[in-house]
Amino acid sequence: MTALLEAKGLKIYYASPRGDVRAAEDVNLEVGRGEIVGVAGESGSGKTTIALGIMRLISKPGRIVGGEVNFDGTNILNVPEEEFRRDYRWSRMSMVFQGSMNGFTPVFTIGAQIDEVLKIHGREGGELAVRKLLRMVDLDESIAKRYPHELSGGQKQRAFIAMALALEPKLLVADEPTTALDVITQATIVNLLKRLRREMGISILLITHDLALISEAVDTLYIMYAGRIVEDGPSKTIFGKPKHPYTRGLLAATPTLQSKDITGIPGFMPDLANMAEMCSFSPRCPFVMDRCRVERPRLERVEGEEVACWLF
Amino acid sequence: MLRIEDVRVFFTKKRMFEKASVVKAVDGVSLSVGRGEILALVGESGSGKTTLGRAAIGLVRPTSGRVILVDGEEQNVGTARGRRWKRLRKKLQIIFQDPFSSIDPNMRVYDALRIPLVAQGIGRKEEVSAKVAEVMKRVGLPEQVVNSYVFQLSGGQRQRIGIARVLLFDPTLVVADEPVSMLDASLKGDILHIIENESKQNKVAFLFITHDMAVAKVVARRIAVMYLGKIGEIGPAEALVLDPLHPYTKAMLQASPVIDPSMKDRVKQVNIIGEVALSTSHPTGCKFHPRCPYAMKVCKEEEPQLKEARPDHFVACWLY
Amino acid sequence: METQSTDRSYLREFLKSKSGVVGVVMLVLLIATSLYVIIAIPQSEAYKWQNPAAWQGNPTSVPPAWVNYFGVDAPQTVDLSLNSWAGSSSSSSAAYSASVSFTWKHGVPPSNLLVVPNFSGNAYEVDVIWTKPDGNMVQIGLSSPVSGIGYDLTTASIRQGLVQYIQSQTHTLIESVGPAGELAALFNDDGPNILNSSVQQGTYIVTVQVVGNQALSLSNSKVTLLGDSYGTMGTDSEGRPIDLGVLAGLPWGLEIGVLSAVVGVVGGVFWGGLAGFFGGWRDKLLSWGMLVGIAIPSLAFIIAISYTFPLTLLTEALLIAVFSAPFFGIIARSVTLSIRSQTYVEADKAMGVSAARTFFTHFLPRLTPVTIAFTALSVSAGIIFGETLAFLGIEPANVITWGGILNDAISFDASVHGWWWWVLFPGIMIIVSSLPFVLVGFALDRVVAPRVSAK
Repeated sequence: MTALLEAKGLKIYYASPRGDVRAAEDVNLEVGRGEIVGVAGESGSGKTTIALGIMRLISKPGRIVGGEVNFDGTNILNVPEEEFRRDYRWSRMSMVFQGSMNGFTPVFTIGAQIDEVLKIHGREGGELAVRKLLRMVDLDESIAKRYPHELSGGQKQRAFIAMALALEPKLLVADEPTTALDVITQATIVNLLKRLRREMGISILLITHDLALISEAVDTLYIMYAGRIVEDGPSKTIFGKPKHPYTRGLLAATPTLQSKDITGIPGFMPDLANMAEMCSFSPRCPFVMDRCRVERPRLERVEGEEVACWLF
Repeated sequence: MLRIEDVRVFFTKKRMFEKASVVKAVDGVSLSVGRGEILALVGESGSGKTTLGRAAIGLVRPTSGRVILVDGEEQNVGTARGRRWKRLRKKLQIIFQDPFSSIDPNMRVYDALRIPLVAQGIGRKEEVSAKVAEVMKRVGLPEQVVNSYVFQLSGGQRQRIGIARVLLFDPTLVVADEPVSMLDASLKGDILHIIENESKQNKVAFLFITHDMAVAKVVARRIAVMYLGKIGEIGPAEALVLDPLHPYTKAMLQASPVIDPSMKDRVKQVNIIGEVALSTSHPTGCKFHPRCPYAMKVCKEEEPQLKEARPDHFVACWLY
Repeated sequence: METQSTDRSYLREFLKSKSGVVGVVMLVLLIATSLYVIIAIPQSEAYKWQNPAAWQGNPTSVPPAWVNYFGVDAPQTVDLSLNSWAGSSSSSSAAYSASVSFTWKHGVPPSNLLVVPNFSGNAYEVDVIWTKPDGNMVQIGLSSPVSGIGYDLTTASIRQGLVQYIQSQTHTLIESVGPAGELAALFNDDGPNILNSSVQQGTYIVTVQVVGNQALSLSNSKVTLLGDSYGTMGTDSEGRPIDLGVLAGLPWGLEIGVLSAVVGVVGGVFWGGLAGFFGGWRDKLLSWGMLVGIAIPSLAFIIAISYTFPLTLLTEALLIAVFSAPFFGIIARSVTLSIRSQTYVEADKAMGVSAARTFFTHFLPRLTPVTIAFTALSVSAGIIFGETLAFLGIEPANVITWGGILNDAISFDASVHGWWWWVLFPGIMIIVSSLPFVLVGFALDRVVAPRVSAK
């Protein structure tokens, strides 16, 4: 069975006075049907750029420079804008952002706004449809009549997820969906996403900087650094034996209840406008070798996953 | 050390033609922070941790209760005014959450560090230079950084400047208000180490405010868990995490993510009811009872006080 | 990691804007011209402006001289000096005479004939014998002439003489003729149809005879044929050159604009800045003041005030400033409030920094760029406001303003008469003088605006 979503060689650059900022370079990514895939990385890693690129939401000064994104076999980067808006965005694939809970306008009720989305896309709206969606995200029906400011952050985020599911998409892209929420609400949202996958068979692309969160939720994991994928594979494999020095550094830097101490990773991320032909992580790598500084490692299959590192 | 005695901080919002609404940000909190101790204040937004932190150093005046700084002599922080309040700034300081807005980006680092010195009457070039050099060393930044403009620095570097700024006068207690929440994972460790260092070597006490239990456990010796303006539980960090007593603490720990790929097919169990409480809600009895899965009749009627349920481990809950 | 730029790059960005550079160039030219005017044209000219006698040597209400290049036949003014006086005098009488000739090649006569006898002593008659190219002579006389006074076609005795000549030509008893008829007498082909015939082109001879009862010393007398065009911008109904008025009005226009702008913007920014900074009752009070300032109709108010107190440049600028300040106050206040929400303001407080120092360290530098942009735009508004008031007759005494010139134009029905130069040039100057400030202001605003929102 082909993957639902397949990104091949995706390149996204942002124009800037200093030259092109290479936000995403040579990204290959796959989301299977009914699979939860995670993309982890810090700020500047390119993970949000990838999400926006897949949804074709990149706007000036950014642009998709190369690569393809195949959704159900079709390269959606070649689909004309009007057709994409009509047939793909929100109906086949939708997105939840970090600030989504603020994506509701304060002057209309939640129900009215969800209803509007249905109607705009030519589906039948109405109370029943809205209530069904709210139930799907564990929200009481009375929420439909409330205004956004009457809801808590977690309720708003769930309502937005309901809106994202309104057209029954096959893929949900969730970019930092829980970051601004308290830890208990966070767990509720993650539980909800898992339940949606189980009951609706929806695929989820979960993007976050929180390694612990992602470990508890995803089947497959991609680790991004400086615009590229440095390690990817089944979540169990990666967390069982993390290979790339960045992954290991990131794990050591992530505070969890199990941590005795956390360490930082010294140094800085490279300037994305001035990428040299070398391993981007080498200036900060504790295992750096001469080869790392002159030749860029490619993703190689190692023990059931892929790593881009000269150690392997 | 710092003693907080039954402090309450209420905010009244009164608009014309509307009834006044009261936000009981802090509603009867007592605790103390020892010399060089790191005490973590854990809670969600609306728990009152931010307000308590500011009341602890005198940036917010308590509606009732006292905040006493014991530093050779006893000083009432809450009632300090004018010159005495200004002098207290040397001993009580605060590190802010957002390194991008807590230091004016449009100045040179040297000038940003000079501001508090000048405010306290230290203006001579040699003195300023010496102090700046000293704090830069303490936070692990090379001295030439002082010549850069703040906007040229990364978030991690700016946060270090934020710490350097508070160390200029060797404070007795520093409130760290979510100092690593806005930093990437790879930067958190260094900041936490600086704080730990200052606590161990220079005996600077920290009131470490955070919403993240994991961070609290890594850095603090003791943790206090707050809910709707009250302390639900306070005890040694390890003990509290391994053996949580208060249902809210239990729920928070259940919800906190850990590295566990096997969880992906399972739903996380969090024992708590309903949604996050509004800060203007004033439940009767125990503030947590509307959300507590173990709520009993007494919980609705009477408010439980902090009781020592384990050695040095206190909890305010009718289950104990 | 650089997300913001320093002042030098403000300059660089400003220079990228073409309109901004054009504006600066225009500004430099205006200021240079203004300085020249202040230095070269002394205050006495301003007094001269109010004195009609000073302009008697100029034709009135005539277009600029360059209309001749566009096919309009508009002869320039011709001065005929009478230098060589021949004559004799005795103890009881003296008689002198001088002649001068000129060639007239135009198809239209001049607009006026001006005779200015200049003598010392007493003369009781001046006669002008006017010989036309066809040989016919016209005689006009002035009795009891006064030295230095200009006598033109409106003078009764001259008119009388010319009417008589016309009567003799047309054999009718026309009682009065207008200037056109008088000029016809002097210049047209003779005959019964003299009033409608064409202008004689050729050599005219003008002989002036002065008779007195004692010896006279004659010098600097002249006869002037006032032209139908004058100078670069023509003249108004008093004969005042519009180009002089336009130049003289430049410094005042710039002054009122700049002064009202600087006071208004700086005052307004502090007004709003302090309101936002302090908050509380001070903010409420200052904000209320701003709303009142905006609500009051400034034009009506200033007009009313001008009737009770005489205006000077300073007071007028102040009044304009007082009414423009609230607008800037409101904007400055919201900028200040957004700065206030920044954590570094709270950090300052936590470190024991005084409110004043916080204001100067963090707020003022952020208010300055907007202030400069506002000032530039506000200058043009000030210029226009000041000229509007002048147009309504409200201006300080002894000042030449473009608005004032336009006011005169309206009073004398310039548009009805088709005296376009009287309206066009002062009007254009108002636009030209305010335009560079607008260009510079918008260029500055574009440079400053994205940074203000980013902070």
